[in-house]
Amino acid sequence: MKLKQTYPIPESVIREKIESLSALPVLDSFAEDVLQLLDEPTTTTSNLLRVVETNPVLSAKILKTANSPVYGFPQSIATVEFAFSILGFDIIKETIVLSLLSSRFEDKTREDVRLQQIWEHALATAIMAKKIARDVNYPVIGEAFSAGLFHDIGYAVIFRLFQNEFEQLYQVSLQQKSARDFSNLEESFFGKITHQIVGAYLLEKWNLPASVCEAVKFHHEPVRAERNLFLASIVHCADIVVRRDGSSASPFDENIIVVDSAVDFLKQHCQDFEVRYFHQTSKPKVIKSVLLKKQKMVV
Amino acid sequence: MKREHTNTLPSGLEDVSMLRSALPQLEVAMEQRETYIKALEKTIDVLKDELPQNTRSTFRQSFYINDMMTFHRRSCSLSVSKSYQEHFELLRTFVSEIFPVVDINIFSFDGQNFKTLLSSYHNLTQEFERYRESGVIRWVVDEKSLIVLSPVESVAFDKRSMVILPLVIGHIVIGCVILLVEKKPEDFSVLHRRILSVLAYQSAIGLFHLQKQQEKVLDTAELKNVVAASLKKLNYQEVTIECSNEVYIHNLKVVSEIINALFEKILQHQISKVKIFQTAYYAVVQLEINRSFNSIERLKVVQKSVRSYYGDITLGQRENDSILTLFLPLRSEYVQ
Repeated sequence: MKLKQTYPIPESVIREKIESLSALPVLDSFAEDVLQLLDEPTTTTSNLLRVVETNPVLSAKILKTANSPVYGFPQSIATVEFAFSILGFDIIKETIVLSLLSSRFEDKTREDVRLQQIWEHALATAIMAKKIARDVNYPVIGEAFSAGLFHDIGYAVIFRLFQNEFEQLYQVSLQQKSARDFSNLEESFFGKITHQIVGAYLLEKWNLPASVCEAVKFHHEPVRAERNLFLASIVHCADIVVRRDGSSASPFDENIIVVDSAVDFLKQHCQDFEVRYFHQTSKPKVIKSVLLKKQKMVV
Repeated sequence: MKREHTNTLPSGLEDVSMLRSALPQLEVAMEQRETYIKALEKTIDVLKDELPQNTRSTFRQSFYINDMMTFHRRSCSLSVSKSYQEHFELLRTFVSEIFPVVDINIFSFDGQNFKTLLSSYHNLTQEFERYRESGVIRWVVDEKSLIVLSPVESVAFDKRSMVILPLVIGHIVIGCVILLVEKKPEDFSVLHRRILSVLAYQSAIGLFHLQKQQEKVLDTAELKNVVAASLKKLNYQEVTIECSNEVYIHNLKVVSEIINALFEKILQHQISKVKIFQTAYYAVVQLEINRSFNSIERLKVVQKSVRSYYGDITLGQRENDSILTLFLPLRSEYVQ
């Protein structure tokens, strides 16, 4: 199978398509559970929060709404809980229902399997980022969770906008047995516009705080983060740790390399950071149990 | 004779016909006039209606200003409250005058960490911790602005709100107040926010004074402790000096007695006996003199340390005498 000559896709085309993107699809199984929860009269904001924050798409949608200038907090709200407090129960309910309903009308049969894997990895990274943030005394722990949750949102955008082309390239890479080296695949398809940049660009368009966008943009090379090196380092290490210990399986970015300076930076805030996260083998069980709990909550 | 009907009217009636022809125009004019009058009347009515409204509005404004001034004056009592409890009660009273308060908690901030300063019925520490982790508190501290939120555990049609007020002195946040009130977030007006800001401002000044007062009290207590410890040390040193003095005097007396005994032997020309015992005496005298010098050195050290605290301390007459007793014979040419 040969690639078309139009690759890599020009940056302007990618940006134009992202700008026109108003929402990302939500997995059907998740949507049903959330709608069921919304139907119950005893559901509280807190219950809803625990479920919504396990889903990057809904979380991003809620943050997009809360960060819009209408509510007076543009680019200030980094956590879903903050957004919930600002919007209130009724608006959150409306936002979720609209988001889920619009998602129902879209064909996403092919996306489901891979998105499922990506979202599981995103959630594991988010939980790990929260844990690391607590250990290194990061001031806003929820922000680390959000950045972890959104770190691979670029993939969802790519699937959504360039599904056919991406599928084609993925098959090529499988044939060449190089699927694991996904950065090469991305480069051949998007040029310099990687999933990190795509994700960060989308979050910027949706008015999310700059520090979260930056952490998403530089989660593979956190030293480039100028605004908030702390957050970018946390997300980077969380991403690496959950991949290494096998608590989540993502089909992409398998060969991501740990950046020593990020680990060193975090060691300044927690002396035994390296020992805790890179030399211990008991961590996967912890994360897996948390993941199971989160999944049970949704069910 | 048949009267000829002509279009021409007899004289005198021409004016009437003119009037008839002008009638429609007159009617229109009158209608217009009536409309005009009605319009004028309506205008007058509207103006009549508006006038009291304006008066009322002016009254309302003046009432608003007076009310604000009164509230501001009253809230000044917050800034001069004498204790944390009094401050807390005052704050709760003032906020309750604006809307029903469910709970109030005050947290202090040292630039890094928050800790509960005062709380009423329920402790909102858990809620506060959640807000801190979710970045709400950081926003309040950065923006130095109050925020009105839906409570974390709210349900549909919930009428409660959580208000977080920063306590700012100059440009420094020294804490924040969390209020749980029976009012929906969307029902908070600009006036409510302004009044709450005034209260927060006064509360910040009051708490700042109380903190400073508490610090002074702690400093004074610490100072008292230091003074007490110093006095204790001084007493101990005095006792030590006294004991040391006794020891020194004893040592010096022993030495002087030995030396005196030696002198007596010499004076009695019992040289032979002296010779017999000379070596032994000499060793003893040497030892005693060394011990005395050591004692004197130690005494000097004690004096020095005491002097650094309490100035010069003179040795007692007995010590002087003892030293003289020691040194005078030593100066004698008999003992080398």
